[in-house]
Amino acid sequence: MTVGSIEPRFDAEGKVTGEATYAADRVPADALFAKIVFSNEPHARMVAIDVSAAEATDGVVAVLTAADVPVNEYGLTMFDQPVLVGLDDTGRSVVDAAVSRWEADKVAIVIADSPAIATEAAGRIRIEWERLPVVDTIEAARTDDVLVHAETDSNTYYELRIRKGDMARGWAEADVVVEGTYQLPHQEHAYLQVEAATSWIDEEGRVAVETGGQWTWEDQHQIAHALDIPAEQVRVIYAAVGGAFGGKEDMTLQIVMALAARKLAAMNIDRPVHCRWSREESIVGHHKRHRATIHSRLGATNDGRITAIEAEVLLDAGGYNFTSNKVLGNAHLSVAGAYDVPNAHIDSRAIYTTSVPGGAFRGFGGPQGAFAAETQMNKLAEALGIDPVEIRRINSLRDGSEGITQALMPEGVTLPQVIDRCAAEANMGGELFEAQPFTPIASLPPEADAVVRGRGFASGYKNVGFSFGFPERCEAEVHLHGDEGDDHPTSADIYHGGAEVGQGAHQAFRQMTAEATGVSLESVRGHFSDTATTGDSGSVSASRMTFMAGNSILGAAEEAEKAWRDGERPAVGMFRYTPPPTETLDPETGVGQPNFSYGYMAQAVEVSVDTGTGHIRVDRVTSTHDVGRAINPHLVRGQIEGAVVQAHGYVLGENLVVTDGRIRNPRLSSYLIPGVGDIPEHVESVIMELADPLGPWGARGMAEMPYITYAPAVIAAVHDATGVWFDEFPLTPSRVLAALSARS
Amino acid sequence: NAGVRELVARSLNVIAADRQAEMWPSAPPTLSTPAQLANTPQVPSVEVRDRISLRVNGHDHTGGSATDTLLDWVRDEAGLTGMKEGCAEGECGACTMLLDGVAVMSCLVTAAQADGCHVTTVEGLTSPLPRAFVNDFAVQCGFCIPGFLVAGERLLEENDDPDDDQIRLALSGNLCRCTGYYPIVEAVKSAAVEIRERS
Repeated sequence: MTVGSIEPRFDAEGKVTGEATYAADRVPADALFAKIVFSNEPHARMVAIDVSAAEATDGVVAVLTAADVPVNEYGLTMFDQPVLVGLDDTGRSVVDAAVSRWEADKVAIVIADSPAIATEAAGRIRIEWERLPVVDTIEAARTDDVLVHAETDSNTYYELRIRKGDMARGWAEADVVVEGTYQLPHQEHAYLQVEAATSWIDEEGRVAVETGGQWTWEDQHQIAHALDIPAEQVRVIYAAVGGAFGGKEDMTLQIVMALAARKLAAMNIDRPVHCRWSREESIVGHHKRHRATIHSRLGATNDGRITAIEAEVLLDAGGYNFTSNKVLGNAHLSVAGAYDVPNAHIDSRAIYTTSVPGGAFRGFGGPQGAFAAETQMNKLAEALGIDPVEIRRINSLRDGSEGITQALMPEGVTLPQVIDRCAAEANMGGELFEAQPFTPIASLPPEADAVVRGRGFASGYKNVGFSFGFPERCEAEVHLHGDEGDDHPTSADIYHGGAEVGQGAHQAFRQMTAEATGVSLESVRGHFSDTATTGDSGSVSASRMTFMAGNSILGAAEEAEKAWRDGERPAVGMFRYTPPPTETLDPETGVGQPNFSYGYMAQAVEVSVDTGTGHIRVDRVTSTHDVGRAINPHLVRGQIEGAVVQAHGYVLGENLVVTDGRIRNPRLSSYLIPGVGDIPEHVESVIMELADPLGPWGARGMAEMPYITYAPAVIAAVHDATGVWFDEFPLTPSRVLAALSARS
Repeated sequence: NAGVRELVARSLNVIAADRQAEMWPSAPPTLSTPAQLANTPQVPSVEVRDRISLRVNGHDHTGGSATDTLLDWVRDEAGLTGMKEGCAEGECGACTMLLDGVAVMSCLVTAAQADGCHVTTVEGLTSPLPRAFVNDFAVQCGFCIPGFLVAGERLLEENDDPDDDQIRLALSGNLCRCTGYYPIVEAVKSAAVEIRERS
């Protein structure tokens, strides 16, 4: 069996020798260089722009403004963002392009002989702005005193509801009610590779953009829309991608670099153009995990059964939607937890502000919703004097349960088994594991009297695949090679659009292709992520790619097998996998089937807290996941450990400072992500393989799940250690100390 | 700030009790050579010429752009793109090179400062470490990996049996956002075992 086997990644070879090339490593010798000019205005109307001094700079080839964009709008799920903010736009856009609603709105593209000249010329662009009021908080935006988008009638531009059961009855049956308001912070993706791209006109006359992203087909179509050309005239290729985590799902350089290549072609200049962002441009220039405010009331009987939940989720979308409406959907489904809730009243709202835009980031609204859901459950357990594992056993969704949107849960609900396994592995109810003495400063001896320890638990679910009626699909093409008389093929090619962003997707594709075709792994050749040769894979997001690609490869292999039997050489099979359709939720009641598959997880976390300094160390994490089938168990473990550490940064330290709509710490020296000395002492990855009925070889998605429950598990452990509930994080030492001293 | 007060108080108490050396690591990695350490602190004398020469991974390169960073010079003039720029401020370590045997953040060194020096990049590594990174699944997106490999190989030259603390100290200048670091630490240990077995 190739599936299930621990095979080293084929792409790791080039990554340890320096041979693997990322977009910034692939600068053609004759390249021109582009500088993308940001507005640097969180909210302002352009009155005048003068690019003549920039154009007149020695070595400048062209300066593009809004007038150069055929259809000046883009957006992954809504066209609400101008490609270039500016005047004299073609008018073929629903959005008012003269208004900057984000400090990183783009206003011009300067193309020059060198990056230095482009940057210097960019500084000579003169823009007159009429400053508009900055609405940088959810509260300020909700008044609608200032509309971020004049074309809408409210900043609260997208809402979801759940009206389930009978709330009066739910509250009447409740013996205990817990209530909390939770403040969730921004998070920066901080992938190590910042954005870069090269564009040119290829040998077939297409506008080609080579970059890093998460969905070549979508990039291609966004570019085609803005350039007003058929998608076939656009080619998107991914070089090696240095991390994404959702942060490369939306457009950054794709459209502007395509515009630059078209402009050069129109000027009869046959040279490619390259652009590489700085870290500051990257952090300012792409969306973040959403800031959110969640209020929740949860009622239950004395024996621990949930009777009602009432919740409100408010997401700060920033100046543009990006994927906020979809992220909101996930938060909406998560805020009641993976529990059987008979009566529910949930309102979720995405709100435009002129602050930093929120968008896709590992978990996609799940972390925010689950934080409220799981912290509420842990508070409920405390209020009732019931063990946190037991209260989850009582309320967990199971096969046959109706979900929060009043649709039957897709078959294969394994949360009860996952909870039990995690509790057993983590010795819940028993002694804590032994831990080294904790000292917050390595050169100081530990102060044993100041250190308290505790343990927390959280569990949950996350959908696999696109939700809410999106036409989910994934395409694959398999070629089988061999002589006419051969019974079995001797080698195979797999053509697939799915992006390798570090997770090991292409390794998994090859292993699944080998398994599906019977060809040895070494004889499977991969051809990936180039719209000229590969189809629509959908995005690497939503923990969907193994599930969707696996099914597409199974289908393509079967088609190729038929052709093989018909004597075709090579035998070619193409397949487009579509899972069972999902539904948009009823706008009044939220009734509908939002998803076709889920992954289930539970985590136990042990911490040490130094009550004298407020520092926290995570001593042990037991991260338990039903992955259906681990296509390559070490790739799965890599996702668990990586997600845990990314969530560790989210809950304990990462602190994006945003004031007046501007990011104040757009550098890795001031926005601190975990280093090797900051991570949990031990992560126990527990991989369960309870097949998903629809999954390829039973596989479920899993890459977001270890992230989602980590923050509430840490918060519960800190509460167990100190007696204090934190409804807001990151748990910086000063925040912890302040709360501890307020308690005493 | 109460936390800072507490830490200062603890520090003073430790010093008063003459216990300040208790927690110091016995053999901290320096990612440097004894000869280099003997000469520190040293103020490099930098003469900016139009053309400078570097010996990169054993091959001589000569080029202009003396005011470039060493990183840009190696990428653009020597044409070796294995080392990456992740932050341009010495924070992420993706550009870590050996400069006459000392691990440096090459984004913070000018090419002129390196004139006449021996430089080692990921393309010039010779130890079992890269292979161990592959076998131990220490590579995901891979962008940070060249920096980890250069720092890690330097550590293993200095100490072929490092403990966890020494590995963490040696790699504390490198950031990774994918792996959580666990397999990276494991890979350094695996390579150390192999180096000891070979010698």
